Amino acid sequence: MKKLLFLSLLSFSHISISSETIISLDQVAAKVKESNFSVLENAQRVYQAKETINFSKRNLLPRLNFWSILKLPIDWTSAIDIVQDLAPFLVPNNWFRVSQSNLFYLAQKEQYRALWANQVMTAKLLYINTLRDVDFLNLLRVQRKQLQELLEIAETRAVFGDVPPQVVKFLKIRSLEVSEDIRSLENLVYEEKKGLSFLMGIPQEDKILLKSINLPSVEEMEPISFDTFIFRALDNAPEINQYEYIKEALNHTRKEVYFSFLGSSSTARGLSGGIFDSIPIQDGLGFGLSSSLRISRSEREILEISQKATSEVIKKSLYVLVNSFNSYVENIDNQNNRFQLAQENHQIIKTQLALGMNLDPLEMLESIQNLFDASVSLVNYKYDVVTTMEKVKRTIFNEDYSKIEGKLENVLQGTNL
Amino acid sequence: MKFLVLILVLTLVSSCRYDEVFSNLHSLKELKLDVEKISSEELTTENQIIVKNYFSKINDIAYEVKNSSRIQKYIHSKFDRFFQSSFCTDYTLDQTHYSSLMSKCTVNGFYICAEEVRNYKNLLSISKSLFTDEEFIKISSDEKCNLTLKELGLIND
Repeated sequence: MKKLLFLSLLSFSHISISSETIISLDQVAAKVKESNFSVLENAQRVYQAKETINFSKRNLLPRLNFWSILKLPIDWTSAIDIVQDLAPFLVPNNWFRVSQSNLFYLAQKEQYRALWANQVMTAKLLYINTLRDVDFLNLLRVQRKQLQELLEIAETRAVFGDVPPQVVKFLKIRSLEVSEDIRSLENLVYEEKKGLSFLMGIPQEDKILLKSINLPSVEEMEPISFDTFIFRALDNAPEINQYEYIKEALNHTRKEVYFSFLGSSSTARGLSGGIFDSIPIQDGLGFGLSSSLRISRSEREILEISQKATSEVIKKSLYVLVNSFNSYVENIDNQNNRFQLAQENHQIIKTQLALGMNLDPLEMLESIQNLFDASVSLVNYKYDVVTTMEKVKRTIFNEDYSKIEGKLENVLQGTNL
Repeated sequence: MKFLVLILVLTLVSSCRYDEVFSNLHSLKELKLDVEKISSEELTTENQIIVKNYFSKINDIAYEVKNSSRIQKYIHSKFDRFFQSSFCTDYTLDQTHYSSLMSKCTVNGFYICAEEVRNYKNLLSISKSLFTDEEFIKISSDEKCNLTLKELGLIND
């Protein structure tokens, strides 16, 4: 009895370990946000950056440094050093560090948004790719069935000598090739599903089932123009916005250089603050001031160059996406015609076969292959359109990628709109 | 004496901040006319900037007012001075222009305008809530304004 109970418990625990999760494309973004490892890690960085602001603010308050006080009776000149402990708010550079940590927090938030959007896009593209491969797999299975039927016909005819034996062998070879293609594609789909589980933070023990998507009616779409899309792409890009905050933070570093004669700050600039480590700040007013300022000016130049480069990268990818999208829209008729012709051709062969006409099995094979190629090409084409649209959405921050932030978020907060 | 000077400076500084809100409001008039001018044109980058400037300004004003009880008090006290019956005609983009703009903001299912454009009516609703009922009645007493606000869904029939 105990054994039975143990076995039933074991089987129950096994069931609970490997459960099935049904996922739709609409759920991917939410899953990535709540469970993707890189996103969660980066969210912690944002949290750290936010906490750094509090740290910098609290660092302006007096603090107790026992050893500095003990040093005082021995060395009265060290009383000046105590200012940093008893009245750190009197050191202007400490205030600049507060402003800087605030700006670095905002920059970190932008970085988080960019990473999150990239992870969402990667997961969604993998989802779409997996569905595409599942569709190919289904088409291959249909092809295998058709080949099997053809092989049976050829084998029957070969008995009567209508078909040479090498044709039967050739068809068998083709059938085995298709079976091999199915096997490798099944493995690829399995691998893709595991990769998708990882991106969505779903335990590897769980099996995921993907809901299919509606492929777009490309025929009804209109070409798009770069000029109308680029505004939103640049206006929303966190990759560009982060530079605005970093440049503003750099202004505070310049102020630090000027006010260094009132003491330097021991407070860390916070996350991402390391980029200003190349700017030397003297502990006191010295002849190095002008050099420090020149270095900070050069640092600004670097930031400007990087910002410009980033915006050019965004433009480049948008140009490519717009071009691809328009070429898909303009050439959909070719794909439809090819599929229709292949379908008609296959239908003619089937009708001739039904009428008992003597057909060359290789011609029949070619017809099956043509239909398969045209079907795969059409499905592939439509999935390519979906993929391109997804990339455009990421570039211009639409749907899953859109996020209301800053003043607008503040204004809309707390309302039931 | 020093105390008096300090109070004077503080009053001047704070009133400057309040006046900034009103100067923002006045600039809205120009920005709205710009949007109306380009509403029938294609949404090129230049036109997108014009559109964003108007809607972001509304957002900025709503942000400033919503987050400062002092500014709210100031607005209530100076209501008659700043808000006249021409309020809607001067500052609010009507439904016709807005619809025309929104129809261009969506291409093949992609939304290409600034977020503030999409949230225009929400921003107006929030702005409405920043006025007292009495003040809002005064604003909407103007026949033309009443019709504009009705079309925008801010007043029920």
